[in-house]
Amino acid sequence: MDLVLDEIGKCYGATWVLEQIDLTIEGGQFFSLLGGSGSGKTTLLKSIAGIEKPDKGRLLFNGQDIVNTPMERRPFNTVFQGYALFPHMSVFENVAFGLRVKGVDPGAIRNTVTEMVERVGLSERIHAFPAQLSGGQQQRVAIARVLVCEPKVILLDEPLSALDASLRGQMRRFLKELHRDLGLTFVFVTHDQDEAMSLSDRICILNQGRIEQVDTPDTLYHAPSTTYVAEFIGTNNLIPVTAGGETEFGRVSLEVESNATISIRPEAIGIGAASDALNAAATLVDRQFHGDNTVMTFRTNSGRELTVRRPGRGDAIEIGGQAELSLPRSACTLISEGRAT
Amino acid sequence: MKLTRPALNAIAVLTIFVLYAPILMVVLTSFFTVRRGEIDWASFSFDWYTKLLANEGIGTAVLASLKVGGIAVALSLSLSLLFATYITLARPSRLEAGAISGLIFLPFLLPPIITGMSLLVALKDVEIERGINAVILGHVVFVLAIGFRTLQARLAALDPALLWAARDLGAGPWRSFLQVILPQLKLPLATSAIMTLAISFDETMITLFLVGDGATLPIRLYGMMRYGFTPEISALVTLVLVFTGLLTALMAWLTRGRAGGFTG
Amino acid sequence: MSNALLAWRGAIWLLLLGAVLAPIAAFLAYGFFSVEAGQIIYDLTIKNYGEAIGDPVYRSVLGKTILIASQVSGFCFVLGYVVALYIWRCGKLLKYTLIFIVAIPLMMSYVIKIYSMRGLLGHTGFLNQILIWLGVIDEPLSAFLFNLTAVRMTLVFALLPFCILTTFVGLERIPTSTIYAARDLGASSTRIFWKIVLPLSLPSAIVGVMFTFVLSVGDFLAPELVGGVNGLTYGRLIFSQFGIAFNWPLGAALSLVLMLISFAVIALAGWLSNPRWMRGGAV
Repeated sequence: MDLVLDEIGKCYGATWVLEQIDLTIEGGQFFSLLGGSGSGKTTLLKSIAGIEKPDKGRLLFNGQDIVNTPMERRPFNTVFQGYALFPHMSVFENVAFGLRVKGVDPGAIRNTVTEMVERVGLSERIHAFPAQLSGGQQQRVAIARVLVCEPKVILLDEPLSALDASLRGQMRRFLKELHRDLGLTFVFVTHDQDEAMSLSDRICILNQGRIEQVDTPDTLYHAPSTTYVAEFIGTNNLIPVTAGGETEFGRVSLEVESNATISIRPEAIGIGAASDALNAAATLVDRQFHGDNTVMTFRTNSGRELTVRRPGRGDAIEIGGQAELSLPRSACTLISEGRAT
Repeated sequence: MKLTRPALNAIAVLTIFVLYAPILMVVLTSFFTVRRGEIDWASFSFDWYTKLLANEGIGTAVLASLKVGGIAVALSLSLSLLFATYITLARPSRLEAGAISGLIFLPFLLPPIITGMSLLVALKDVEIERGINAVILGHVVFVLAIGFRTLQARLAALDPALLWAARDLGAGPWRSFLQVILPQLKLPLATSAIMTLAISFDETMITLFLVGDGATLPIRLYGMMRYGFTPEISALVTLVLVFTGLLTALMAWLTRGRAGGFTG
Repeated sequence: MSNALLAWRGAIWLLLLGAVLAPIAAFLAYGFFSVEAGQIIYDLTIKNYGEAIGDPVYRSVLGKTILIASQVSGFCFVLGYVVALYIWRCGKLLKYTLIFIVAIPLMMSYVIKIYSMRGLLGHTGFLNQILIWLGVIDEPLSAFLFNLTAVRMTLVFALLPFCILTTFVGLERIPTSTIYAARDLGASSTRIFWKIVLPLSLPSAIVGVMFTFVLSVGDFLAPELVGGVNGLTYGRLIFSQFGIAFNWPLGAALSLVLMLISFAVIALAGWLSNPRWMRGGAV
């Protein structure tokens, strides 16, 4: 049940919005396509759904090329951004639509739809119209509508972006439970890295129509392979390093073959000099209190800004005050690809 | 500014009144006799209406107008649907879309005399006789812009994902269009049908060139008016006004709560 | 699907070219023919166009017609704006009632409007009665009807509702917040009108005026029915080429002039009603 994208490319006019996308989405995974606007994530989802036809490459599902299969015959269903519920149909009719198309008999439709609507917790609103529902309820209808079609893969296009923050948390949990119960493949498009990190088995990070990295959330966070990923996922400090491992703060214990970059997370940086670490004298330029932690920004004597996250209220340093920062060698990750900062 | 505003308001109220004064005059003269420039209030009667009903020519003209209007509505809306869906759903190039809407709007924007004469000349060249069919054709070409503009505006405002969702759930292009897109067009179809009918029912200038020996109601009126201002015409005009008023009210009811419904 | 798309596209272009472009092209082609003894001679000549542009009588009729159309549209613009503004400022219920009242005449037949004006301006009409009542005149006058002033009045009466409605739509589109913002910044109501309301509603008003001009410059019904012997306008001149005069080629040539004037006005209005701030998008 794997979905394989083989050298997929898509261009509008002379610009390639997707270039050489090679990707394998394993059956049953919660897979996210993550990227900013213009990264090509939505175009890629549309290509998988069949809304857009790629200009090159193959799309294999279960070993079969489905690139020329029209969208109505693909074993995938999509939850659209903004849900695209049919405004003139009730919740029941919206959910029943796919079954009616298939020609399922009315009695079976009634049972399946009632059951599915109950499952998403909307039994009481089954005869309501979409305009009479809240955003979260509309979301559930959109999900129920695709689930009754028993797709092999569910595609979700920014499904949480229209909801307010508190509801988004609830829906995240709902989606995760749904995925666990159904064991289906979820392909989830989002621009929100936090959403992707908390939900996914694997994430594909797209940038300007190219894949930057495909990995588990853990690997993406701790071992980004490009500077783009390092900066896109969470906050990071990037420091240039020369061939041989020399940085402005001293030598790192990594094998560096050519000029590259090292990254170190804000929470890994300590205040006060330490052994087996790169030490740097710095001035505090900004501090932001977040309740459970405090983010402090320092400017080193070499002129580089470093972000440091400390638990609780942070260290008692005034803005403009001096401190010695320590960057443990073990926390430094080498990024050999991508632009140097 | 202190005095200008009340003055302007007075002008506005007066203008709205003056818009109706001539029509009021017509309605009054259909019920009352006017003698030596004064209305005889005691002379109220429906006489002119009964005379009107006896006039066979009028009945024929009304039927002709309704026939032309009905067919023109059906044809122009079907064509509008064909054109508007093409422009919005088939995604033609900007240039093509511009050319198509330009051609649709052309007969509507040109002075009616030119549209009328063009059709007259063209129909003569392809040897179609003047008459009711020619009038229908002329009306369809003229009113096409109304349905097209209204439907296109609605279609352009639709979420494209509606169509995708239908296809995604397994419906083919026809089913998606009929069950998902078409129901969204009910209101614009109804309002443009009313507008189209009203315009066709009143159209005189283009019709005059194409009608030949027959007559639609406005042509009949035009002919009668050459003999002056008579109570019989006033009665007919009053009836037409009632019909138009009903259409306007229906339109207003359909578009209630939506400002600017009249301009699509 | 792509075959169906092709058929769809083909049908659209066939219909539009056949029913819209071909008739107009054929009509304009007639301008190159001529008429002799009631028969159309299909030999190409530019005589008609020369006549249409050069003949002093036609030129003076054209000048007079353009003047009338300009006066009518100017009057409709000012009056339409005043009325639209008044309606726009009314409370919600009154506002929509009034705009509905104004919209009814818009749906009314043009012939009926002309007929009503004849009733108003005629010998036994309201106007005479009011003037007698006011003591301005003793006997009803026939001077109101069958001249160019009657044509002007009829055109204003017929086209004013259109101007009111388009201007009103423009006023309605002004976001209330912009007016609050201007007031918040200390602008007086006079300043708000001249600096905010007028510029934002002008594009719509211009579209209304454009239609008024195009419809009045090419009109032949009002001149025919209330213009009398002196009411010769350009539209009536063209119309007569298809009736008594029977000179289609000359009619076509005159129509081209009318068409070019209409296009020029439409283009001008299109340009005026689409100021830079409305276009949006990146520079």
